[in-house]
Amino acid sequence: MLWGTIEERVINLNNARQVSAVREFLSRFSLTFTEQVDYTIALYKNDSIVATGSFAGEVLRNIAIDESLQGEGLTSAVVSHLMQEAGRRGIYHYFIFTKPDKAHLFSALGFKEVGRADPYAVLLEAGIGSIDSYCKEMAALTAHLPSGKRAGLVVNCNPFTLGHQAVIAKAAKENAAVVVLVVSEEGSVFPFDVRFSLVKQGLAEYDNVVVLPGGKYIVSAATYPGYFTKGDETVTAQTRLDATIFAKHIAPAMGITCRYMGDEPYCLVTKAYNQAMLDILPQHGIDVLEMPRISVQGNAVSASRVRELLRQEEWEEIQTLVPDTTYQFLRSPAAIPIIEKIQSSISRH
Amino acid sequence: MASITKTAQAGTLESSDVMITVAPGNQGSGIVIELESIVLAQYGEDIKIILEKTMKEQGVTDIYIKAVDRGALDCTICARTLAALSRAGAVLKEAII
Repeated sequence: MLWGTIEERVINLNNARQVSAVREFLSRFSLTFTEQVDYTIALYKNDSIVATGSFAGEVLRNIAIDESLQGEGLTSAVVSHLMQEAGRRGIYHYFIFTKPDKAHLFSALGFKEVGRADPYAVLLEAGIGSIDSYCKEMAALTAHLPSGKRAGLVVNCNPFTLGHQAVIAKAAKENAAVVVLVVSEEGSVFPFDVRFSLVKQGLAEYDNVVVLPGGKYIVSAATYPGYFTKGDETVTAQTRLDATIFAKHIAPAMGITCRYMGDEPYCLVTKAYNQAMLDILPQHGIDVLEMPRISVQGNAVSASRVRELLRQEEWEEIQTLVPDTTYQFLRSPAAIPIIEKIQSSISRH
Repeated sequence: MASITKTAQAGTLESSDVMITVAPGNQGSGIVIELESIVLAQYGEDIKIILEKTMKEQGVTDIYIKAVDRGALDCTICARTLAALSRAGAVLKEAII
């Protein structure tokens, strides 16, 4: 470490001048700076940035070191500082997404590889907790299920519809047991707690189905930082990384041998996601079954359709698309803020 | 024997330092050490002995210790461990001056 000549500064994310200096520095490495970070640090030499790093929740990101100073220990200084600050905020587990050719820099700092999607991205982790302990936990939570053929699904359910119910019911009929993992990441208009409890209520009648929170190893678009991949590559990298981690770690831990998915006629990201599953899972001996969506009066049942109808308050049609448990929730006072949010936004999610 | 109440860390990943993270373990789990080191082959066992000795001296048990070592000296390892314990709510036997 070049003591004396290098100065550590916390970037004020509300200060446009400081943020643009970081943005400019990162652009030299073809990295984009997005404002969805909790904290950013920069190392300065002679008043110009020579290194930077940020974190958003558990994910350390935007780490870059000036070429002329690489190999001087600046990466460890930046990563240490980020871990200390995250630790102060009660975060003791850390992820880094990076390009495969940069992974060794972080392995030297105690980061372990969770999964990779060559040639796009690698996911590494460090700190308290690991994919192995997560898998053990998941194995324990599914141990009570009947033995035999076991299927898995990963769902967002924003909110839970008859379409989701139909796919899971089919899986429950064709398999000895079914594990439903609900994406834990926030970023959908229905908060996780609501999505999770609606899925649980909607599947209460199936004895051989267990509904569990997906946890942090389901790589969603919300956790995956697209800053080092370009355009379409971002979706490819995220979906392939997620498929690989599911196939190599999560599915074997819970004894899942096939995965069901609803086919996706509308959303391109979900379509790419399904494609990644079809490409990767069979390589690991996991069957992938894509179910056609059920239709009501000629329209495919989808959660985005339900949200659209909520915007227009078309209650009669909503009732034909969701199970009674979801409908009761949507009509309850607890749903009012969510519906207001849908009506005031233009996002599809 | 006392146990700690929360997770805490001390140290950095810079060369010649060690980052120690301590977390409360399940009751009866004892002292669980996970060590990563660039000199694991040469000094791995010695580092574990220092960590365990420090815990015992402080009378702390049922603790999970994660140490990522970058070639720290014994005194550094000991100091970082004590700092982590203190941040985790352990009352140290001797005051650190």
